[in-house]
Amino acid sequence: MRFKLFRLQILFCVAFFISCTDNLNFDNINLDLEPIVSLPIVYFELNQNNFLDENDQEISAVSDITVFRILETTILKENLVELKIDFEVENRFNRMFTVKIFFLDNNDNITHTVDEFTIEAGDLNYTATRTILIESTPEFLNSTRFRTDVILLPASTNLNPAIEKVFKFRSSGTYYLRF
Amino acid sequence: MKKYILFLILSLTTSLNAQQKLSFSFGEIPQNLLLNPGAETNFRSHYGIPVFSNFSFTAGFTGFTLADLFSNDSRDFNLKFEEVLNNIDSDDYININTVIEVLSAGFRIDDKTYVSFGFYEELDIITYLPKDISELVYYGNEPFINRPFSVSEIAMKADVLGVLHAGVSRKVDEKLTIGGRFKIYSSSLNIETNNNSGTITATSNNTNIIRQTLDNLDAEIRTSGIIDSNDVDDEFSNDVDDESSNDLFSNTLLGGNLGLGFDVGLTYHFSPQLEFTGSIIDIGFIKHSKNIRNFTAKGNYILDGINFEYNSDDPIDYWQQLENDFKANVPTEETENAYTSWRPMKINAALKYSFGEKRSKFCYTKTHKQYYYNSIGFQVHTIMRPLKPQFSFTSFYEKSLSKKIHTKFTHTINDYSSAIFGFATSLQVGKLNIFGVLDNILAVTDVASANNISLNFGFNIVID
Repeated sequence: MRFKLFRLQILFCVAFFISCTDNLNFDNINLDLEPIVSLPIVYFELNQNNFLDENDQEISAVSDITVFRILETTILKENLVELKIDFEVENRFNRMFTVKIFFLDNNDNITHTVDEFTIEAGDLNYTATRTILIESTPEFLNSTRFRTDVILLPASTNLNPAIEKVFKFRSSGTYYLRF
Repeated sequence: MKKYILFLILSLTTSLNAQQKLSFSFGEIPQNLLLNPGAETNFRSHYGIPVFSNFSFTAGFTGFTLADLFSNDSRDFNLKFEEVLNNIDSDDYININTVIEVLSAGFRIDDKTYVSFGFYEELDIITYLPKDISELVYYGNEPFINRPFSVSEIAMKADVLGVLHAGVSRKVDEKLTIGGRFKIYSSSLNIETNNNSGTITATSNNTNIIRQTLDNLDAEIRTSGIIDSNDVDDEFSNDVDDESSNDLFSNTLLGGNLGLGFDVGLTYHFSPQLEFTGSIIDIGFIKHSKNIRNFTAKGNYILDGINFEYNSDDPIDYWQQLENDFKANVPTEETENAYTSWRPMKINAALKYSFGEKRSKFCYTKTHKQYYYNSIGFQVHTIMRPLKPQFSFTSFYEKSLSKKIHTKFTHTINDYSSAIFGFATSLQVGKLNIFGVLDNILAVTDVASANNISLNFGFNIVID
């Protein structure tokens, strides 16, 4: 009885004390979470009448603005490292356009100006990409508004209100996060 | 004396994964009555040593091992994490269960009837691994344009509860013993989410460069015990009210949401050598009506971004419009509706054939029983989980080394592995019964590579 009990004791001690967990390391648990999230931003379609006033005189530029609260979320504010904005334009006008994009804060101060781009007349597949690095542009995180100015560049021929033209603009943002 | 102190020390040690079911139909330890209320008992009374009569801790997981993530090598942790994420699927899960038997006792009413009662606290958590959503969070959606991510993979259940129980085991005749146990559940905390549906998809070449679509979303999470409905918001107080955390275990004795349940079981001898035992455990429910917070979200939504209209005469608050549109299409709700949750029912069954040398044992001074020194058999164990039942199949060999020392050797096939070898023992040292279970013996020298390993001890005073 004593001998059998002793054997069992040894078995249990061995089970505990030689149980090998030396091959585990819990010190270097360093998970870098770096998701990349793509979301749509702004899209619109303009026609010739958007650039003509009630007297059919050309308007050189149109502008629209929206509140842009996505950067107010803690997740983005604290973890965004880069924002890549993609643009796609289909220009069926026989005129050139320049597009200017601004990010602004609550007081309408410009926090970031996106490098403008010019679309040739009749360019149906224009694409452009602009990158904002947060490290070099920290004030960008204060942006709460997004404004787009579409400028009709001068030309020898004016727009004809009876001739249908369309300018399609699409944009998306790719957010690079690091937690 | 040193031997008993050593066992005491060993009993204080928690294990990675203790499977009480290994001791099902094994020996005559009082804890068998919790696994099978119809277990045969041949002692006059028993008294569990509080807290130490049965202490177990379980942490099992499928789809990966500790070594997959935490191996001591020079590989980048992210690389290891990505490999695990790649290998798991939505049927994999993490299961944590701990049971502390606070009070346990029983006594014999007559030759045929044994009554037992007690109180134990249980923490039970099972969470399935939502591979889709995990990949979405880890990688983002940019690498997966046009791939739908399913919300239905999100399923989990967590319970902290106390169980007050009383049962009776009744010997009907020489062949049949039946039993039942009545339980009062007292839930201190419950969190559950299951049967969710919906997909999140980013697609290209639509109205905008990227379209984000939320399709057929129908998700709900039910909780009780997280928020104390009686707490009054004090806007002038900056103190965090942490009384609720203290109440977590104090509510486990008839203080939380209550429920009822029962266990049934039997032992049947086809012959003196062939025995069948079976039980159904935790047929019961808990009605959650206090400290409820449920959250639901339903609907469909397509996000193409903001559509500028360039109408300076009628400027639009686009962002507000977007928010209103989202809220109208995907309404979320926070309710305090009562709900019922079912306990995870367990089914045990074992068939055992005894042979070899016979021995006799006097039981509670009035009768004696004949036992065989050897037995072989198999047992099955099923537990009903949120997504699907979990099964395990165990074949075993039992050997009585003496009248007071019984051993059991097992081979188990379950979700974790098809080669789990275990060992159980029951010792009677005077009036002290000591039982121990060690499962997955082969993994003892390499716990890191195991999905499960169990070590479970208990002390009881058993009076014949």
